[in-house]
Amino acid sequence: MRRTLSLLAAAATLWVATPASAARDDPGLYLFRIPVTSASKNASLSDLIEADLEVPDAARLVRRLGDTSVSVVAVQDGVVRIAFGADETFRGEPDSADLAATFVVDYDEEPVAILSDELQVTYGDEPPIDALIEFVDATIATKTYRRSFDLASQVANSLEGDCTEHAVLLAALARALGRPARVVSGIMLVETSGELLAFGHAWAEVYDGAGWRVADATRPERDLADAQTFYLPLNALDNEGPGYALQLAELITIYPARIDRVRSVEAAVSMR
Amino acid sequence: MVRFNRRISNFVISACIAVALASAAPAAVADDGATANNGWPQWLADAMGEENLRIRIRKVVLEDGLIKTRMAGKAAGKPQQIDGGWYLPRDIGTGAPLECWAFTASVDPATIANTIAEQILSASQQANGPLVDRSLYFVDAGAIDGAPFLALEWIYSVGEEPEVRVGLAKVRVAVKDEFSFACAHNFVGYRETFALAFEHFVREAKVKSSEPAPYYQEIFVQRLGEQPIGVSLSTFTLDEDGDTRIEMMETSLIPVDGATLATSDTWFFGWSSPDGRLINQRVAKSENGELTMNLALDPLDAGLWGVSGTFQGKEIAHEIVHDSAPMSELGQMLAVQDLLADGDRVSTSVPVWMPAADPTGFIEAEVALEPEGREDGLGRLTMGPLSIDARFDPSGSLMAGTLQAGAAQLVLERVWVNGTLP
Repeated sequence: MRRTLSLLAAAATLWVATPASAARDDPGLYLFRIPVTSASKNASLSDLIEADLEVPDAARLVRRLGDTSVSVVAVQDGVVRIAFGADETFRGEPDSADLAATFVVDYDEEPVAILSDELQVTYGDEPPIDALIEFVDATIATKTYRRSFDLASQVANSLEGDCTEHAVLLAALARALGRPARVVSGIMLVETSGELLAFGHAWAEVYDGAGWRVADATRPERDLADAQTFYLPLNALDNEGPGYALQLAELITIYPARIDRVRSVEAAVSMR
Repeated sequence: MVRFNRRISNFVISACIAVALASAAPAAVADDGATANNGWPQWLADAMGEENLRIRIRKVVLEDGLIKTRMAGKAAGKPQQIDGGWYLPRDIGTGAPLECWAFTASVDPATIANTIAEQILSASQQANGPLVDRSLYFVDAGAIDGAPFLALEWIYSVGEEPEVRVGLAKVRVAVKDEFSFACAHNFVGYRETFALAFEHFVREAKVKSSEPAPYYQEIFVQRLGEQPIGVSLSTFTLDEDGDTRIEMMETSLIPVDGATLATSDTWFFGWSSPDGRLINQRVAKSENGELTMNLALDPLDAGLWGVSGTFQGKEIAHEIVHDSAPMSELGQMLAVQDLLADGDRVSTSVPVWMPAADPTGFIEAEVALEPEGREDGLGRLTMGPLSIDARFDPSGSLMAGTLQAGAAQLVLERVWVNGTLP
């Protein structure tokens, strides 16, 4: 039974990326590719879309989505049909946890504090979220999948990483400035040049005073000109203590094996 | 009592390897010409297919008498004693020597494999000019009898036009008893020859061990889909008090994209009471050569356990309150063994310490047998949010496990077992 430690460790490698999925020429920094099919050929997606997610644990996914702005349309035979827009987020007002220095989002550690000072020197005392994104993107100079899931202070030291490192550092810097922020994992769906792509991905959500806003410091729009992106949040990291990996492991049960029949809501089809 | 194996630092080994590889041979010269079916230049495809499988195997006995083995080819120099072991260059009839190391202590296999490969690329750049390109060509994990091994190959090009050269850096590392073995060959082609030479080196190695003989060992290979990414070895040894010393090594080479490799090495040392309760445990993990976990779990009082050490670079000290002791690997096997033998029960559950998931608590691990598959040891293992399709042998040892992770499938398969459980 103890051998499952190995499986859990392997599961953690999904936070690096799967070998078969991370081709070098793929756009952006993401965790892994998810097979995806479209319900409509050659038609651009509207701002609100539906999709069928085939997941190992549909009930758990539905529970998770209940905390987000994503609508669950139907559940049948392990397939969850959802409706969502471009920048979905977790719901709820920010609380003290979204501002705290924690084991993972450790902005109280010196390497993060130094970066926070640099950020303010460059962008002023209250930099906008876009400045945070730009700063984190520029600061993490080495874009690599070698890191698994680093703490903010580790990212501030190594200045390398993939989407999870960008998300953790951005959340830390936001909190250091007194802005509620959290680390989110989920799916990024992209329509580009008539092609539909889906990735496991991570980003931050930052509260802008009126609501939560997606803040993706990997800046996929840079690699995906004229693309339409949809952020589908599946997990906001609640456990930011040393046991954070256990919560990340839960994601394995709700990441879809495939996403089918992506379509604009006006073109929605019945679930068979 | 906890007694750690003799181990030598990766730093010491890296330094030894760097000295040895300073003489690494240049890579093959690129050429213009026809194109092979795989899109490569024909000369490169031809070179990659070259082998020398009938190479002679010769006996090698090291001066300190700790290791006797048989190696391919003839000596390309006298064995050199290095800090922590021996350097053994061999001539196998190629333009570059087969370079092997025998370490008289345990090493981190993934870290060492990666280090050797990087040293080869570095030496090749020094000799031939700047790196033009590099791609992961091959990663493998498995067992040579009771020795878990990792294999790594990079294809690369160095130099400047019109003198760009192509190389193939091949590295294999294995752990056998408390010794470690590594070989490297920086030459295009001879892939199977190299693999066979390494296999001889490891399989024929007879080491003078100071450790007591284990009563049970097992090796698992870990795959992501069809790609082997890691291997683990568990060793159970009885002490004079009747307790079991459990040592477990997990090592992984994870190709995260075509040109990037992540490494992970984890060592567990612990003691178990005869009934399977954990007495104490130590765990050390390095990722990409950096120590990311160095933790101890010790009993503090009845129902109270202490976790201390460093985790992700931070000191942690935490107390775990739990009614019962966590189960050791032996205890988990015994629990499943009891379940399989008891026709009235369908499931069992034990607390376990899984520091990689959460070092600050115990996780309940449940095995539920499939009603129709009980005779075959089929069941479902649930640990926290994870659920794994599993197959156990009658002794309670896992034979295979599969975890569905989104579109990917993580597979754990037992490939070698020796001895018997109580």
